[in-house]
Amino acid sequence: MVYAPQMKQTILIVDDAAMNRALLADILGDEYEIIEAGNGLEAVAAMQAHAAEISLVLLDIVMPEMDGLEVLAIMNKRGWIKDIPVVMVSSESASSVVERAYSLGVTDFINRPFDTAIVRRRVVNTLMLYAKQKALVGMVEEQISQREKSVGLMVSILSQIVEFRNGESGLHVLHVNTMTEILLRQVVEKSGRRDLTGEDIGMIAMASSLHDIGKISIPEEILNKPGRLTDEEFELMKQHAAVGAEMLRNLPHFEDEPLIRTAYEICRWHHERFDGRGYPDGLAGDDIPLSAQVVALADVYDALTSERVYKAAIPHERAIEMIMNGECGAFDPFLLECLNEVADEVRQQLSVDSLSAYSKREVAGIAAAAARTEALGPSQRTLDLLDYERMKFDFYAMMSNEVLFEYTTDTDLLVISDWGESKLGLPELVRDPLGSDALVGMFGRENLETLRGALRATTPEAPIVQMDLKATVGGDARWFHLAARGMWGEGGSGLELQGAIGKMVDVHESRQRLSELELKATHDSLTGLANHDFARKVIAERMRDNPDDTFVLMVMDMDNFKDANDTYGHLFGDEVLCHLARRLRASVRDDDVVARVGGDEFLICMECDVEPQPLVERVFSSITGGFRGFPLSVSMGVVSVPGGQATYDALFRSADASLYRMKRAGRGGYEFGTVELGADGQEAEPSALSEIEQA
Amino acid sequence: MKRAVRSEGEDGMSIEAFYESVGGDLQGVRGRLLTDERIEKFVRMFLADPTFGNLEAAMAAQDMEAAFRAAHTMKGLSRDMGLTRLFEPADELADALRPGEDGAPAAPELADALMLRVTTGYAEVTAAAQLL
Repeated sequence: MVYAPQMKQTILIVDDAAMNRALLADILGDEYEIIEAGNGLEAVAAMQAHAAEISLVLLDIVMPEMDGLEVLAIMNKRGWIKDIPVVMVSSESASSVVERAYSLGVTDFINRPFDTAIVRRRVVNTLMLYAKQKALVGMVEEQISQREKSVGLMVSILSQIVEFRNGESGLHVLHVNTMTEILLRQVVEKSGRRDLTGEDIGMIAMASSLHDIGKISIPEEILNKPGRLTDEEFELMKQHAAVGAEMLRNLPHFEDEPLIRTAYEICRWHHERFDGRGYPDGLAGDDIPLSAQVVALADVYDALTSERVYKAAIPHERAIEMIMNGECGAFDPFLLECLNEVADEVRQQLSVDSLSAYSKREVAGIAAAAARTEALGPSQRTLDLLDYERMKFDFYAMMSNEVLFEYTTDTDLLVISDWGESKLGLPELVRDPLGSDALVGMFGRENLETLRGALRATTPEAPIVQMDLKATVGGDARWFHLAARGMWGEGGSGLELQGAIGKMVDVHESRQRLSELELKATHDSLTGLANHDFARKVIAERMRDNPDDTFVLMVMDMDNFKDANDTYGHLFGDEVLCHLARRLRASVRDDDVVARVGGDEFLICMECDVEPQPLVERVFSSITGGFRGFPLSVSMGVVSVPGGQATYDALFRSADASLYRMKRAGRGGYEFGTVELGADGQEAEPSALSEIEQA
Repeated sequence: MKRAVRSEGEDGMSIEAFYESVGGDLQGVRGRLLTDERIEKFVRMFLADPTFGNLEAAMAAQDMEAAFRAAHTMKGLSRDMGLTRLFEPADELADALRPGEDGAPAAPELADALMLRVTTGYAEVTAAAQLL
């Protein structure tokens, strides 16, 4: 892992008087990393941010905002008190307060006045006490995970090897394993030897699974030959002990891995005999490691009682008898006594041993061990991992301009990430968020209530809420995108909403860019008016939404625009167009649509519940006259229709047709046309001119 | 290094004069904080500490809760620094202002007289600061 825990231990000093914190920090010296908090809220924030780093809290009781007892209450609620010892530092001597503090899990008290020797001693003692506990928890967990890994892996690999290659039932490995464990326990019990711990026994039993791995090198015909082996074949067969041992010795971790070393002993010497007549090394008596002796005995017993290609299964009693009589090799008499004493247990255990029973037993053991660990709280490793994740999280949050937050219902505390604190000027910790002036001032009560409502409306299946909201940052309105997840958990009365986590991204710039792009795409760059596409879209929507309102569409173009360009140049032409645009815009209401259709052609669309003629007249007169001495002459076609009775395109075609009739009729005026409606409500060709007015 | 040794000697002298002037328990403080250097550092920090100002302001505003916290802090600091003649009235004041079950101070009628004694004690300490 990249993350290396700090060497110095970290102490959180919580006191509202700066001088008290300075005094304690000075007394503790530079052996510790010091974090300071000026009140209970800051302390909780510090613990939230550095949970796994903090080794000890020195906590004052009387403080503003949140006092020491409240901090302890929160530490209990969050379970931090199990991992972070708290030493009270206070001149508070009221016994009720002291009792309360102890009942909330305080480890020790440092009384005022501060005494260098006492402060240091209390701190060291407390740290040591907790360090031991954490180390214990870590050891147990380490063991469990190792055991879990090795056992699962080996049993599956070896059962496979044995089953497919050896022709024996996969149970042989398990039987040897089980019997080794039973025998060793008896050896320990009977001899009273203390150098063999329960852990050692577990390890030897596990290693016994490897006793026959050397058989992988023996040809299959020999392995599975029915009937006796020839001398030559037997010599070959005997090599499996040394070969298996060599395989293990060549493993990279042979020297420092007790399990592999033990397996080596077992592999090499499980065919030695107590009388020295075994193979491959002819060791005798106690020169043969106990592990190998026990496995040899278990191996023989299981071979006897199992069916093989070359023999039938022998009953338990008979097998024991044969072993005791020395018919199946020579064993340490003490070991034989042990076997005799546990014979019944062996028979019973091996008869129930099956692959699934084996793993079930193992799993149950691990689960029980894990449950015991749970009671001790998360181990140091878990905390380190958590801390690592938090670092990662903070980093990403920092790099992505995101404000992260976390809210817990029971404490009514909102924690906001550093970035939010520094960029938005929000406090890192807010109690009662809806009552917070800072939050309400920035996001508005309405937004906060909407968010709360949305979170309360989440379910465990659909816990996510997304919304855009406008916030006031440094006096300016900015857009944020917020995503939050309701945290549902098992509570006193079933599933309950225990809080929420979320992030907020400042999307103001991108939103602004987007609206600029939108503006560019929908508006004419010269005059700033809407372009025809956009106008069509807006008008069509309005007609659809207000089918009973009367829509008046005016389409116009200049009669003499070409002269402006030819005589005064294109720049002047542009100015003329802008002038027209301004005039048109000014002659109608703000929500009427004014657009540049293209070239010198413009349109106006308005909803109108009165006789449109005066309006049209006003528009028309606003754009006639002159611009810097250049005479303006405009022709205009006008139609009006209820929104529900025509499409925009029909409306436009009719107005356009009127415009061209107007132009043909003499220019410099406007013409009212109509949209003729077919029987099916569809428009027909516009009728002939109804009225012509000459300007 | 020479300079450090000499100034330590001087400080030792001045810190003694200071404690004698305010009737403080220098011996006790030396036992707890170990070096004169540290004692002087924190006496200076005490003189710059806002606690007395906070106490005065809270008393003036009749904010009994804030006054209790300030008196409580003052009691702790003056005891740490062995300023006995300031500690004693501060201790009594903290007791008088300590909020009970109902949140009301225990003996508000004593507060003004005790505050006067705290003020006198504090003035004595600030006056002696010139000896440092």
